[in-house]
Amino acid sequence: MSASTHRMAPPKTLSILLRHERRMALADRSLLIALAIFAAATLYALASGAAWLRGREADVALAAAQSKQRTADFQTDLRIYEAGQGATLGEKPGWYPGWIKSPLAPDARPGLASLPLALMASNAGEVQPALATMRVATSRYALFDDARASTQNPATLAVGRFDLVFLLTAVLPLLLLAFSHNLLSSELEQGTLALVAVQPVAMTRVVLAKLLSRAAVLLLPALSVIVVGLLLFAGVPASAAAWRDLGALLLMIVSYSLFWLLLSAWVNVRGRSSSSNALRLGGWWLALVLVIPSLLNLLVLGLQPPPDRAELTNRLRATVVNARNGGKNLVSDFNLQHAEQPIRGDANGRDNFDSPKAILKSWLVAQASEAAVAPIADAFERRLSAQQRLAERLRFLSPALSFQSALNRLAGADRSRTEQFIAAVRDYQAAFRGYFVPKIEAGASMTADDLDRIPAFVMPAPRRGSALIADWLGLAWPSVLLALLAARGFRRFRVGK
Amino acid sequence: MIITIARREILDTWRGGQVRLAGAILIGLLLLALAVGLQHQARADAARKTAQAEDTRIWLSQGKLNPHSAAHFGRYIFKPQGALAFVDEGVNPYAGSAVYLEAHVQTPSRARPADDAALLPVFGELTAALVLQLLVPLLIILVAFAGFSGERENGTFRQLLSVGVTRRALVLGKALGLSASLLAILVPVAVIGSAALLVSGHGAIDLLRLALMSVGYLLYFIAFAGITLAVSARAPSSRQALVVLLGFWLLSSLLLPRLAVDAANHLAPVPTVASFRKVLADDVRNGISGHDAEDARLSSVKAALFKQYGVSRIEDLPINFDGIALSEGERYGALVMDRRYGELWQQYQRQALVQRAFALLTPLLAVKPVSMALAGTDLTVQRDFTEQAERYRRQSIQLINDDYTVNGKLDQWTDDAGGPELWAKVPRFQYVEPSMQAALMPTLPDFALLVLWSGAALGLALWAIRRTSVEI
Repeated sequence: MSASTHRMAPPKTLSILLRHERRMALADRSLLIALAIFAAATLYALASGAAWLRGREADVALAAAQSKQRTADFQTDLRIYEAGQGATLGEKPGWYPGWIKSPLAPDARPGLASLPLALMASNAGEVQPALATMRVATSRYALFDDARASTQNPATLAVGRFDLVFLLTAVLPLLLLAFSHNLLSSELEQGTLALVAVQPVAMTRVVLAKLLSRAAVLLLPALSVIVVGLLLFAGVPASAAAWRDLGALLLMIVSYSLFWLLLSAWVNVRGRSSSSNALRLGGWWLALVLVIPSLLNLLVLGLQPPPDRAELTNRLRATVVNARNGGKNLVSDFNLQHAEQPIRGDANGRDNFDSPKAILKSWLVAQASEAAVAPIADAFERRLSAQQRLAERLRFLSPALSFQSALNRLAGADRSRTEQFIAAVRDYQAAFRGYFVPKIEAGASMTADDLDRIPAFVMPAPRRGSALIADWLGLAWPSVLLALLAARGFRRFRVGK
Repeated sequence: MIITIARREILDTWRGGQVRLAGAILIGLLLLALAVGLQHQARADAARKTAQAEDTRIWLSQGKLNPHSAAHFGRYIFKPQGALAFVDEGVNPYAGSAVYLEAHVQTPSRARPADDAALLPVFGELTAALVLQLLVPLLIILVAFAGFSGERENGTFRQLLSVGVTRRALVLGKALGLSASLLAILVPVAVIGSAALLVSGHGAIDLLRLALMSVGYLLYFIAFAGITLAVSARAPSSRQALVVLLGFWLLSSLLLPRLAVDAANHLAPVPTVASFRKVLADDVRNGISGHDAEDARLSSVKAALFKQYGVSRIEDLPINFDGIALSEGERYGALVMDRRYGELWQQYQRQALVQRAFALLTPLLAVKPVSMALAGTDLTVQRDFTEQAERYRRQSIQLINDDYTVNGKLDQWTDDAGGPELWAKVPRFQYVEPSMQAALMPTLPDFALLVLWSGAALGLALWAIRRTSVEI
């Protein structure tokens, strides 16, 4: 055998081994069945996620349409009023002549725009506020109160939907472990590993090749199904950002899968029996997917107890009462400061709810109570985000949590997207108030034309690049560790007893 | 004989290092979950009492105000945790913990704890229920999967039969041994749980709840033990027995419960919150039938009043027509709310039925409702609470509207029409938790399913061992 053919030999042997490995895998009926079940489960999870998302988007659209309709109704009535026919409106329930002119009356329903992959995460999306309810006098801390009331069945939510995040976080690892737990042990048990060991190929390469071929056999079909399912149920990505999201999703799935395969390799190089490997890997799955995330959750609750929302609600309401009890003074103070144009009751001297003075009072009360509660409410929100940050740091302790976090982020169902939505709605509220408050403070009424120029809400694109990289690092470091451990274990690995 | 077999089983179990480790971890998790749960429940109950008292104080601290504005300002009612929430938090994380009561409408309960949770672990919070429902069955499988297949593989099965051990005695002995091992874990936990209950001021009723809950879980474990022994008896090897049993656990604990949720959502859809609110508003405005619009309803009330008082203008009425209009709105609103919320709860119930149907496939879905009902954290309590809150809302608003009818001035809506005397007239809300009987009745079928599961599983084990062969 010449030197050159000897150099040629390893790749050839390797490719034979690989081909054998692939043939064995494809001949394994149980693998095909498992992949078929996984494919069905993926499509099912996506279909069910798409149905959930349609419901949420319909809700957001409905609220926007209702708000638009209400404004249009105001406009119609205002036009009648401006034409001097106001008296005909008096009897219409809910539409008092003064109220339609009031700058306090128009509302807006800014809604969360879904990201292309939102259908993956119906469980996390379910607890995300997707709609705000806003009038000029709505407290900035109460914008999402309506969104916090839910008609969904708490008993089913407590169990959780079968969404893609669940499938990939909890079930995909089981598929990977089921078909890699005997990576070496099966050949050890059959005695064929010794035959492989005498081939002129480095064992490291053989093991790596076996690992990669298992990965390919399992992951290529799984990823294809996920991509097909997404194209089917989420549509073809319509923008560069959507393609990037899809790419990032696939990268995360591959990295997460690699972690489980490396875990399997590490357990295998210990040279135990297949059933012992299976039991150990099952234990790891249980620990990493079920026990540790729940324990970390306890740790978060222990270290950063959630602030008490009932207490915040009471504080908010107490400041409203205080401000309202001092409402008269608020108006007279305002009129002292604006002596050139004081705001009074309406033309017939009445001071009922739709008079400029009552409207001003409502606004001043809202403003005063909001200012009074701001320190407490801001502290509440700081505590919530501190809890959030702690949780984000702890996710590095569990690849399952990092992966779940990455997927929720890609779906736009994570807390940072929620916080972004809340911040955007508050910015919008500032613009909204900027439009109406000058009219209130001037004692002016709305005109039909004014209602055409109400600022519109725009939901900004997500900012999450660095957070996604951090999620990925949470997946990568355990994989690197396992690769090192497996390599070290492998050096001590003996094919024979 | 049975006792001897059982004793040997216990010894075998105890000798296994993996089982001992798993058992120790399990006890640790269970105790941790109970301790944290107790602390959490105590804190939540204290916070709720403070919050409820504070709501009353705020309500009474309102100065002069138009009664209708006060009705819109409304009240908040906070929900108690449930007697044994520290064992099983049930629907609590996803059920509104507060009900906002305001004029005109019944709003869905709000402030779900899960909305503020920083982490949403795939399997929920670590509670005793999670350990009992998901992890203990795994331990049972781990302890007993080789129960018969192992004897066969070691050749000891033949020996046992040859010295006159009957198959029936073997099954019962092994089941007894398994139960003893489990009880060694569960009894200390139950004792600690009961002690904690008594120390934290719970009564005898709650102890009874805990006892019944233990029965429920015991039936659940028996179901798993029976299935494990049956599979162990029939499987060609211990390894295959383990694969089948883990597959069953996976299906029963992981996949079927969530598939049941999806099926329930599909078969009994629940409206989203914005569409539900729209339905309520449309019903109030246009009438439930669509032929009974708000203004027409009001006109007929007006006509009746004109007739009663012999006047022809609302200004001439001796009472404030605005108050009458508000009361009429509430009267009709109550019809709408009863109907639409009734439909909503009916959908929840249908969803529960779908889940119960799945309980024929997985015992987890049979033990879950039993556990929640006994913990006082199920939908029955949630419904009872929201309904009591709604009755209280109607009462309070009616009182305020009646006052406005007598004391308010037509079309004025001024802030001097109401004051502290009126706020003080509104009674306090006192939630009366449903009796244990009322709480348990709806879950009797689930209890029956548990009995069925455990009976069938034991029967299966007996059948399997009678038919199992001595040879490998």
